[in-house]
Amino acid sequence: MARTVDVALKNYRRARRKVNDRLVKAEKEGRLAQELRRIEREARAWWDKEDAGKVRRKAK
Amino acid sequence: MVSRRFRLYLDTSVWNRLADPVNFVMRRDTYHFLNRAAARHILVVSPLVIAEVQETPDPDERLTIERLLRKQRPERLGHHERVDEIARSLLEGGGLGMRRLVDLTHVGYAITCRADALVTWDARTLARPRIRTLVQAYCRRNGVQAPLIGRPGEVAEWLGLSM
Repeated sequence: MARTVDVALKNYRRARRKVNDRLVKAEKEGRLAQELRRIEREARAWWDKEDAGKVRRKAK
Repeated sequence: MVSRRFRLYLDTSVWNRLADPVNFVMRRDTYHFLNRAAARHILVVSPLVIAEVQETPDPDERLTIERLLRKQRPERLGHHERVDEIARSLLEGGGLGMRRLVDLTHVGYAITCRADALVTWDARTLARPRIRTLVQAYCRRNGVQAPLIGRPGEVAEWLGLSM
């Protein structure tokens, strides 16, 4: 019987590998904490983008 | 009697399941966990979760995950100085390779935000006895609360949450 590919798990592993590569590179260069701070800034920008959109929609 | 509100750190594998195009059972279980078991509790996500969601290859799936992530209004964690130290310490203590750095950084966030549980669908890497023992030993040594690490059904059972 053919095995079904677990697409969600595959996507998750791929994404995790990419972020891991980023962290490993930073760790090797001795700047892991800075990289985590950068990821935090990017995440904040992502949340703020939507919040700003909501404010604009309410203002209309 | 006021029941306790648990802090639940949801890793990316849980959010990804919400847009699972194939496995209906796991997708349904994830919805049940979020909407029933975890409904009255505090959901927590770290910046790493957002970074990983951004890497979802299918744009439609990514939009679905992002929409549902925002809808749940989880507590957003910021950077914490000790996260990288914890990840490094767990990596060395467990004799694990650098491939596990991001997994253990998630654990670091779960420890620093005092999560009662780290919820994941990843039973190959995170929700397994070796990692649980490693995390418990680290937390005991450092006098901090160890998060339970398990799949949604396991966490619901351990914390007495009904699905």
